[in-house]
Amino acid sequence: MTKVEGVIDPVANDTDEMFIGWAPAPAVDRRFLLGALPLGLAASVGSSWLVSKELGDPGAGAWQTNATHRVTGVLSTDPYPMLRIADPSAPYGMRTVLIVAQGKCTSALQLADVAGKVVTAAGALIQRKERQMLEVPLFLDKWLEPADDGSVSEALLTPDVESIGSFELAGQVMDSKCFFGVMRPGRGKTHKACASLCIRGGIPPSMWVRNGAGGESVLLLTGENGGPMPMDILPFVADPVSVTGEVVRVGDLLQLRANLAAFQRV
Amino acid sequence: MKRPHRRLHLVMWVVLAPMTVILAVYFWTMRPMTPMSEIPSAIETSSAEEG
Amino acid sequence: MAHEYKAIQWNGNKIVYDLYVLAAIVAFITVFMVVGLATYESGHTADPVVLFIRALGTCAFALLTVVLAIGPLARLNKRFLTMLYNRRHLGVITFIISAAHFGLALLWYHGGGPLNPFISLFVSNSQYDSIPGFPFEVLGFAAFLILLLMASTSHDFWLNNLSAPVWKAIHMLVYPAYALLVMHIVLGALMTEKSMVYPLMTAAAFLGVSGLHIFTGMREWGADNGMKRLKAKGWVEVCAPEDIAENRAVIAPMPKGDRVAVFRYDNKISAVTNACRHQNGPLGEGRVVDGCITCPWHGWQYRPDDGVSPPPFTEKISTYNVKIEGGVIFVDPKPNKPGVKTTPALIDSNRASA
Repeated sequence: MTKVEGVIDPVANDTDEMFIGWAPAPAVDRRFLLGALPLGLAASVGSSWLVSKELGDPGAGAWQTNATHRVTGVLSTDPYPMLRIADPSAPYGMRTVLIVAQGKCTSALQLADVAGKVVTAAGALIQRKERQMLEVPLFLDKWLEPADDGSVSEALLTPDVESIGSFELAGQVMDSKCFFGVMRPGRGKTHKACASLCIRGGIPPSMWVRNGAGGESVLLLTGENGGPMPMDILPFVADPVSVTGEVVRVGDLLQLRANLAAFQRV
Repeated sequence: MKRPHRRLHLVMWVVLAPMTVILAVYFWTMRPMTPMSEIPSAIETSSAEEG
Repeated sequence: MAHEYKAIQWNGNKIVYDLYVLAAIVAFITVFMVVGLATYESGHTADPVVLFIRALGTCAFALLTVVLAIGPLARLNKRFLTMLYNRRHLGVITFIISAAHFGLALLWYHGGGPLNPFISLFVSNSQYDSIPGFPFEVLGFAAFLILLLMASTSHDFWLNNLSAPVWKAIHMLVYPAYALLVMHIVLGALMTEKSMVYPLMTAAAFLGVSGLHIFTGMREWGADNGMKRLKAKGWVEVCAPEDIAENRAVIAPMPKGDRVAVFRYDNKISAVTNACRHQNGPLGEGRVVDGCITCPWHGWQYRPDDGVSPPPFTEKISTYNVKIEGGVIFVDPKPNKPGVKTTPALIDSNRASA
C-alpha cells in the first residue's frame, strides 16, 4: 500500500451500486425511495395541515356574491356613499347600508345627481355582524333605479346627529369593505397594503376598537368636521394606533370624527 | 480543475445564516401587540369579539 | 444510454420524479384548502382566495427548503443522489408555484384599485422606515425576481453559453433569495399570526438548511486543508494501482489545489479533472460504466483517455498524463487541454517490465 497522504478514496465509504439518472435505479436506491417517498408525502400533508389549522380566525364578515341584494332608501354621499333605509323595528328607526363599488375605486361612483333621492339599489351584500354594505357595479344604470315611492322622509334625509362624547381609543384603521367581509381575514399586516389602497380608492375607513374582554366597537372614521377622512390617514392604516376624537351618532351609525394630528402609533 | 465555488459557497452561508437568524429573531420580537382600549358602553357596538 | 443536453429530454426516472412532486404539491394545497375552509368554531369562514394565496406561498417556501436541502444531503448520503438528479425540475416547479403566489397576491391585494398594481406593490405600504410596518411584499418580490432569473436560465443551453462559473454564480443567488423569503415571512404573516407554530416551523426550515450547508461545507473545507500541500514540481505520486478498485477512482490533490480523479479500468489507469463539465460534480466519486467515466450527479459521461463524451455528445474535460513507476501511479500536475487524448498507463505490462 503506497497511498500518498491526502488522496481520497471514495470507495472506502461507498461500495453500493451507483444511481445513474438515465438508467434504472439500483435495488438499494429503490428500497430507499420506497421508504423516503411516502415519508415525503406524509411530511407534505402534515405540514400543510399544521400551517392551515393554526391560521388565525378569519373574522366575522361575509360576502354574498351568489345572491343579489335589493334595498330601497335615501341615498347620501355625506361623508361616504350610503343608503338609509326606514326600518321601524331597528334602533332609531333606520338601517344604514354603506355603498361601495366593485374593486377598489368607490370614489369613481358618480352619485352627485342622485344624492338625497329615494332609490332602489341592487348588489352583493357584505355584512359583518350588524354592519351592512352593498357592493355595486361602477355604472349606475347597472344597479340603481329611482324608487316609485318618491316621498323623501326627513328623518332619513337629515338624520339626528347626537354627540356621544370625546374619547381616547386604541385600535386599528381598517378599510370597511375588506373588513366587513370581502377578505377574510381583511386585517393585520398582510392586509395592510390592500387596506391602504382601498381607502385611497374611496372606500370608507373604519376604526376598529377592542377591549380585550370580548367587547368591540366599529366606528366609521371621518375628518374632524364630519367630512371624508383626508388621505393623509394612509400611513396609519392597519397599524396599531391610538386617537382622541369625538364619537357622533348619525342616525343609527356611529362615527368617529378625528383630526389627523390626533393619530399616534402605539 | 477544482470546483470553483466551493469556498465561496461556505463563506456565503457562514455570513448569511447568522445574519438572517439574528435579524429574523430581532424583527419577530418587534411584532406589534393587538391594541386594546377601554370602550365606553355608549359606543360598544358588539360584545361578541372575533379572535 | 444518453444524458440530457441541448434538448429537454425526459426519461422514466424524471417522469416518476415529476409526477411524485406534482402529487405532493396537489396533496399539500388540497389539505391546506380543506382544513382552512372548514368553518371555524366561531362560524366564521375564510376567503378562499386569501387562503389559496397562503397555500401557494407556504408550498413554495417548503419546496425551496427541500430543494436547498438535497445538495448537502447528497454529500452526506449517496441515496439522496436519486433526488439530486432531477433537482432542476424541482427548482422550476418551485418557481411556478411562487409565480402563482405572487401573481394572485398582486391581483387580489393590489389589483382593481386606483393605482397600477406594480406601483401599488411598492407604495401602498410606505413604511420603509419601520420594522413592524415594513412592506414585506417587496422582499418577496425580490426573491421572486431571483427565482425568475434562475428558472429562465435553468436550461443547459444557458449553462453552456454563460459558462459554468457565471451560471453557478447566478444560481448561488438562491441562498440570498431564501434569506429574503424568511424575512418576507417574518415581517409579513408572523407580524400578525399568533400561533407559535409559524415561527418554530420557519426557524426549523432555515436552521435545517443553513446547518446542512455549513456542516457539509466545513467538511469539504477540512478535506481541502487535509490534503497535503504539495510544493514539489514535477509528477505527483498517487498510490499503487491495486489501491484503486476496478472501474473506480481515487481523488488526488495537485500542488495548486486542483483535484484529479485517477481511474482504474480494464487494467489501465487514466486521470481526468475531478470536476464534471456539467455542474462540477465530483467525477472521482463516480464509476466507469460501459467504458465511460460516469458522473454521480447527473450521469454525464466521458471517455477516460481523452475526456470526451461519447457520440453524439461533444462535452470535453481536462485530462492529465499518468505513468506507473515502481508499482506507483504518478500524475503530471499540468492539465491537458479539455479533450486531449492521453496514453493510459497499463498495469500488467508495467508490472512485467518492472
